[in-house]
Amino acid sequence: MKWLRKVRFKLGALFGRGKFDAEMDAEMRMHLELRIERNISAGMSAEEARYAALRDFGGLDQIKERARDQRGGLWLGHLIQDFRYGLRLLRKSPGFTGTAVLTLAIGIGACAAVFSVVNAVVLHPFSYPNIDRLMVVRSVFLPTGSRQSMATGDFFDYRHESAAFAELATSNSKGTNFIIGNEPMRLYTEYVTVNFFKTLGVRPFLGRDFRPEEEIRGNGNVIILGYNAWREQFSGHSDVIGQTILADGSAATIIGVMPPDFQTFANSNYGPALYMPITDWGSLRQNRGRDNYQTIGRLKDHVTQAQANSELNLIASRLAQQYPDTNKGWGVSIVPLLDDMIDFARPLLFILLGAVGFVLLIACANIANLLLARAASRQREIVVRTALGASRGRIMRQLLCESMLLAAFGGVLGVLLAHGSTKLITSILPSDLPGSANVVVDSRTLIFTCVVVFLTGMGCGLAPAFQAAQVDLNQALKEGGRGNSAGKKGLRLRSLFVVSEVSLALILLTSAGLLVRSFLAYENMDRGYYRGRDLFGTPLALTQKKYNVPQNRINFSDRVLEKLSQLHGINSTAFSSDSAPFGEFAIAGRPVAAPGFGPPARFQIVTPDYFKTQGIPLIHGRVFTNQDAVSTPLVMLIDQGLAKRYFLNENPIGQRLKIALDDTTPAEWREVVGVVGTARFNFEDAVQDRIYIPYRQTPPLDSFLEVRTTPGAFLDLHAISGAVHSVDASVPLTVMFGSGSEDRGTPGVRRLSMLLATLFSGVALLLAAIGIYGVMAYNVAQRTSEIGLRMALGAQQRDVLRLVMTGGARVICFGILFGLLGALASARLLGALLFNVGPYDLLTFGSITLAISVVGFFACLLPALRAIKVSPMVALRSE
Amino acid sequence: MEKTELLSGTLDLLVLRVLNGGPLHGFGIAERIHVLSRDVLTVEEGSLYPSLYRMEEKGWIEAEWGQSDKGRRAKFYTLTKEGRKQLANERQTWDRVALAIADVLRNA
Repeated sequence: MKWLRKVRFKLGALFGRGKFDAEMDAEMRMHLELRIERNISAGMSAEEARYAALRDFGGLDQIKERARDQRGGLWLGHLIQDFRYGLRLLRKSPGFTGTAVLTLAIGIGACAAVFSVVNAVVLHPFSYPNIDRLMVVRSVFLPTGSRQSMATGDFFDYRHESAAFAELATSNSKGTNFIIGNEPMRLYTEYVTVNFFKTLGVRPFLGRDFRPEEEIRGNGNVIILGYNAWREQFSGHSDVIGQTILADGSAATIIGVMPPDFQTFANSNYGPALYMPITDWGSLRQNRGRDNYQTIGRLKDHVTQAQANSELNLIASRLAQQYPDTNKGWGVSIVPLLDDMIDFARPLLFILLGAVGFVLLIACANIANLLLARAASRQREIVVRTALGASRGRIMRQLLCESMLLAAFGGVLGVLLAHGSTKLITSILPSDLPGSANVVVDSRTLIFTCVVVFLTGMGCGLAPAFQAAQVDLNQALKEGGRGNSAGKKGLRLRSLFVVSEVSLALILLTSAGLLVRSFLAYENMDRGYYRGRDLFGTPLALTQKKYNVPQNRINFSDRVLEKLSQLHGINSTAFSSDSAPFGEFAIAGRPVAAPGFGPPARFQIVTPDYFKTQGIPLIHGRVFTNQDAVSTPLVMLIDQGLAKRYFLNENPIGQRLKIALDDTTPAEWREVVGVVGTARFNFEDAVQDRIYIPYRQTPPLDSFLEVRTTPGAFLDLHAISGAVHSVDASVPLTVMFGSGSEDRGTPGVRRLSMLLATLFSGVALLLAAIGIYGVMAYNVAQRTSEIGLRMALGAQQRDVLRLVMTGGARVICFGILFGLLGALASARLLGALLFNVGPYDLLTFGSITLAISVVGFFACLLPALRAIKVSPMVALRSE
Repeated sequence: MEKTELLSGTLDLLVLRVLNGGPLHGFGIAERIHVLSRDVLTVEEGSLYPSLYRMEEKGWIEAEWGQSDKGRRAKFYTLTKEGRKQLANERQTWDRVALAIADVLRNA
């Protein structure tokens, strides 16, 4: 029964508050009466007796409050009471509440938004079960440690022999021409081993997975649709299973659709994807050349990464003995999938987290300042409450409740902001960042936000609450609640906040400045090719059966170029191979390195006008002509980088180089007929040297058509596709703006970090300016009477201005000093993302310091101007 | 009349001991302690009521409204079984401490 009484007691304390108070009141009153009676019976007069009893009894309300505090379970009641009271107070001053909530909403919202990105990208980019068991497997060239895709022949052996992996799968992606209904279209297709989805641990949500026998050619041509392809090309009808479509000219049966959240770890920036099994194992298993296959494995339970690593390397050393020509010196490297995928985005995420953290800190400092000012003006209320028996803890709790309420409202609004901005974030994230499509405000984000809200409420409320609760009752009552002494102490604290705000803003701004500078340096760098806005292009794939004859491809390109040249406003047009794969070459008359060790270069197949269209200058010799054909000697052009590297003291023209365009064609000797300028299409690319080969000698199946218009000419995009379709209507097109050789990956990260850092630092600067202004304005308001007195005693406006401004200047100078120290440290952390800009860039640091000084100056000037307008009479009367 | 402050921690013991004699209201408790200590100890209301509420919450005493001898409604406090146990404990502790202090004072 003991617990029952306890529960009743606690509930009574919580809900029967009125009853409890009334009873306590009655009890005390009776006590007092009994005392008076005793005093009377001791011989005092009624008046005297009453007075003595009251004096002996002490502060009735203080006793009551202390007695109340003894009752357990009451803290909850107090808390509810404090929150109610806080709500009432906040409602009473909507201006303050609005400012504070909005400021916090920006800070918390930014945090929530960035967390939702980090959550999607770093913590949960893929929905694969047990993702930590998934490993990316690559071949590694042991002497240099460079990692490359695994040869399909090697993959076949590893899959056959490895015991460490439950599944090993590989995939390769390329565009494929489909005819769906009657419409030709080119869709991104991933060619996968049949155990691919099983390895990832994902099943189609409609239909079935691939079967082992479907890896063998002739056992039925099957295809699985990605969710987006299913929605867009088949309107999401569930009866697609069993339908037949034409894929590169042969019929394929749709057997399944992947779930909506499925995303492969390979590049996914080609839009909706389809999946087909790799079937040509006959040739692939003989292939020991390393090309674009991505191999992934799922470790068996209880097998460690190290064990798997040593097992595969054992197999690799056996393969090296068996196939010394191709495999000598090659080992295997195993990296967890997650580490492999997000490596390049890490600096971006750190920048983001740092930036929002700073913004939130600055927002907190602002709110703390506002609360300090409020606490100072509320000192009378606090004094009265203390006099009525409120303990220091109680007062602090009350004030913390208010800041918590502010943070909570800010949090709610912030989450709404974050939710609204996820679309925006998704659109600016690099599309090849895994998980970037899954950025949502989910339960994890909400939990994170709750923690942030709590810390924010504590962070911005603790100092003001502590300060306010330090009330010296006697002193405060003597001052009549004007609170000058506490105001002074508060001002020091407020100045401290402003110093930190200024330094945080400075750090953020310089970091953003450095990122902007590197971005501009990168954008404006001379890349050796034309990057104007009058360049159009489209990938073109010739996959109809007739194009298996090379001459038909040449005829096609000839006729398209001819049609296009008849259009108005065309400057020049060219075909090039869709990709520029890299391979090794050998130079006639020089010692040959072992296969796989020759000097590397990228090979690009182009038509004669390619260089004119791309704006790549000819340095020596000649460019291709239409006479460079199958029947004439094999020729090539090299770029200046390659020429300098290998023919520094020789004339490169007339040199002979041996190259193999891909693994299926034999290596051939070609003569260098010219040298062109170096074009850096992808600056981050390790292989920059390029070799150009005439289109007519090796017309590719996958090509890219580039069209450069004459300056100022208006070109209808439909005119381009019309010209192509007038030659062959079955060729799918996606005409787009700009060159086909645009770069992805790190440049995207650089652009994004610059954009966001700039955005956040703008917000930070604004908040800091508000903070400085707030403190200065408060300072001036506090000193109104002092200023009035000075002016009455003959101080000039100039003197008052100087008085106010020096105070502000000191705070800002300290802020800038600390900020510069912090900025130097953070600039070093940025190092890897900077480009052609030193971390200690004088221009950035100088201009940002200047900008902050100017903003700070004006934030001080406005209150100072108000101060000198003070009429001495009014100021003195305000006392 | 000179007031002697109570040693800290002893108020609970005294209140429990006084209540052991039967139910009393707050004023009665204070009076009783005052009288039993031959007017040496004065219990301040500012300490008494918080102590009473604390002990009530701990379950050592129970409160009930009843009639005082002069017919007034008053809140009477009664010792519970647990309170009795607590009293025995505290008393033992007190005796030991008091003896120890006396020993020190005598022999030092």
